[in-house]
Amino acid sequence: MKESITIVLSGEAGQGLQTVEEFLVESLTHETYVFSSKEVMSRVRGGNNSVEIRISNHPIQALRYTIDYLFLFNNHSLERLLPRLHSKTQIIGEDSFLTDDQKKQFNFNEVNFIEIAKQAGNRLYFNIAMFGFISGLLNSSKTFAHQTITKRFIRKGEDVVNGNITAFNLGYDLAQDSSLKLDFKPNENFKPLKVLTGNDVLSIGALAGGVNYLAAYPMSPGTTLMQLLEAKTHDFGVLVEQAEDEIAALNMVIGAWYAGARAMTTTSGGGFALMTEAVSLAGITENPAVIHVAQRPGPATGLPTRTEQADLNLVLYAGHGEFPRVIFAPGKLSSGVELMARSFHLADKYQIPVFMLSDQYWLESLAQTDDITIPRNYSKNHIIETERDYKRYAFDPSGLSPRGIPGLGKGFVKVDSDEHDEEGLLTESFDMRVRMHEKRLNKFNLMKEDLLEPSVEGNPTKKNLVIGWGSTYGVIHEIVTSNPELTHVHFEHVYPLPDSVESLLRDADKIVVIENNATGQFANLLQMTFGIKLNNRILKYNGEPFHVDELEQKLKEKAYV
Amino acid sequence: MSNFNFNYDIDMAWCPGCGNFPIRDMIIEALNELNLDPTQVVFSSGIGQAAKMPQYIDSNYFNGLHGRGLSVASAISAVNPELVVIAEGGDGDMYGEGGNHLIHNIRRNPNLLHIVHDNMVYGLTKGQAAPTSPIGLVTPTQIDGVYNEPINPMALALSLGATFVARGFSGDKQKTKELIKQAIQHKGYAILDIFHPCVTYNKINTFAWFKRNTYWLDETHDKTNLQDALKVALNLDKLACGILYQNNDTPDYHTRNPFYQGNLTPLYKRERDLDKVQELL
Repeated sequence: MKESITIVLSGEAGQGLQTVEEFLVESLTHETYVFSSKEVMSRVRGGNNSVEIRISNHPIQALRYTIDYLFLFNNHSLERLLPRLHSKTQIIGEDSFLTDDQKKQFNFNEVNFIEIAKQAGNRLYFNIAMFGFISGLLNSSKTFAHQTITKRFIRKGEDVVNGNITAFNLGYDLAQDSSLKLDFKPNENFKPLKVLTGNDVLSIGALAGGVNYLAAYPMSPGTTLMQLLEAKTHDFGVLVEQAEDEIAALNMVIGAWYAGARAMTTTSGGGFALMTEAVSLAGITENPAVIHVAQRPGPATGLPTRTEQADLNLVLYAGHGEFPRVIFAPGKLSSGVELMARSFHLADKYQIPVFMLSDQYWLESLAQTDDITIPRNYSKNHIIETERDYKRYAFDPSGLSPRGIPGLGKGFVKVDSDEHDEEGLLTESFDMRVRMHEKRLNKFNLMKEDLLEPSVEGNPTKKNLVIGWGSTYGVIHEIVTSNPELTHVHFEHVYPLPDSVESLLRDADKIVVIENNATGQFANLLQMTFGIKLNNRILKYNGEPFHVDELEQKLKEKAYV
Repeated sequence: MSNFNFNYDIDMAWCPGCGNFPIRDMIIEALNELNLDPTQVVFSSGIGQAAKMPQYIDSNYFNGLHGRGLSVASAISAVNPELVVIAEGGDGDMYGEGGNHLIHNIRRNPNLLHIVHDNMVYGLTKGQAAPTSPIGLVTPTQIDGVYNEPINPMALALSLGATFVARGFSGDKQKTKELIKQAIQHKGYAILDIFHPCVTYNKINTFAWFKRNTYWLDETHDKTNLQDALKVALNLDKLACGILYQNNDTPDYHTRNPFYQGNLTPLYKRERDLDKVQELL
């Protein structure tokens, strides 16, 4: 585990926790490593939400369970976080936020941010006063903070900018004079990094993949991607359609591809359940489709605003009948761009459905990244101009039937959800059925050249493997970098799996699989694919992502570290 | 001179005497007479006996899933405004399984013709009730007769703001063919419900029944008046054929969607500026 400071803000929905988070992360990323994530209740106002901002002088992309500094926004935001306090946790807030007993029991520091805000001219500046206070604790640069404030408030006028800067300075100076002030020294070699969310990188990846049509029905946490691409409608030419339901959404995506668009949908498990008939449709019509499934805990409505990795099986087996598909699950931010763009490329190249399987935690956390170069060869259409005798399902020596679209060329593009002949006319011929079915399934072989190997980090002997997939990258990475005996094997291309994985598994002495679900769906997939028992699993399914201290403890219990 | 008719034999899956045969003739004649280029026409259908129609016309088609023909058609039209798009299917396909898509595509006013074969019974699944089946129709899944109210597709479409609402009858080929032509030329969503008998499963709504219970609107009907159209649609004593309503003032999907802003270039012809994408990072 890295040296780090964990700051948690706790309050109601609508109290502006996210404002403090965004300002702080945006300003700190000029000076040091930072990662933040929020956990919210499924409501618009009230309840208890919290934001964790973790600061370190080493790269991090994971949360800690134990809290060093807890900032309270009201008198009912402590209770839920009590298990996360340790003997040195400092609690900061107004006098009335804690009971007398709690004040005696914990390290409580009275600071009234609303009073500070009022001194600066408006009680609404209290989040910025808190931002100032935290910056003061960390001794971070006022200049970057002032820049952030100016950038964010410039549209509201000079008075608002100045008022907020005053509030920031008052908070900052108060912290500098307080005993809480930290001796935090940023890493001298630090170079400023970009801060992005998973949603951000997926939207950019989709644009790099050439997306120009999106049909979706809103469902958390899949909706943000729809909104981000809608925001790009005019600058990038993305036609966004809010469909009447998920059934329509994926059927429309498939219709759009058929007519030459590069189309995607975004949803969560419950919405995707409705789409499954159309996944199968993409299979038999050999029509591309790109489907983003943002996981949240189920079954059914489950925990709408929380996180889980429990829809791998759903995505893997969705759709009646047998047909090829590809499933990506990004872990690194840069992979979000690459794999989202690649989804369009592979869907088009192989005429198959391709899934991007993310989750609430990965999508909504603010993480840092080096510069990302977008892939340049994933936005081109794999379509042909048809000849008069064109046959959509021709048995081509390449194994793939060249895809025409209606209106481009002299031929007809006949597509059928029934079993069909080369021309696309429905058929009841058993022989034709077998040939068409084998043509479709043979794409599993053709695809082998495009399967991505898992990333392997840490100990080069590869004897003690810690296996993860998707959003657990950051938390496992941090543990493995400080436990040199471990090798981290991480899958972002989760299906189909490359053959080389078998020897990696067979040659290891110990293997533990880490998953954010209750049954170890990916471990089961590995077992089934390679015939190797993987009984050693660390699973979490309470709706939260793994915390680095918690996971390290569990690995200790299993005598892994 | 265009030709949407096959120049080769094909074994059609319809029963002898099925109303789908004359409807096929009308569609082919209408498309030929409009002199449309068959490569620029796309049929989108779902599942059912009517939904097999595109198999028997020389043109592009997407024969997808039950109830989804309209969704796919709407997307095809959305991404390529140059195509002539026809969604086609039966009453069960379009009013039952696809009911939600009917409602919401009327709101979109997409540039397409929506043909619904209305024989008031299920064919391919063998004789169960359709959403348009009359009360009392005895079927294998309603042994004491249908007891739910039938849907009134014309009144439904009118109340939702459909901009072209018409009904034809397979027994009136010339008039129904003219409806198809006018519907294709309409800018926006056109629904054409075509009555036809099911000779195998519907012994109530026979050819003679349709002849007896329908009439054609004449020039005294003001098709621009929504109130009049609704009155006609709600009169179930005698069922009206012809254009009940046409509204040319409501902008179609491509006009009202701020995405296009007058540039109707199909999406597949548009290039992505990757430098601009890189700038986002």
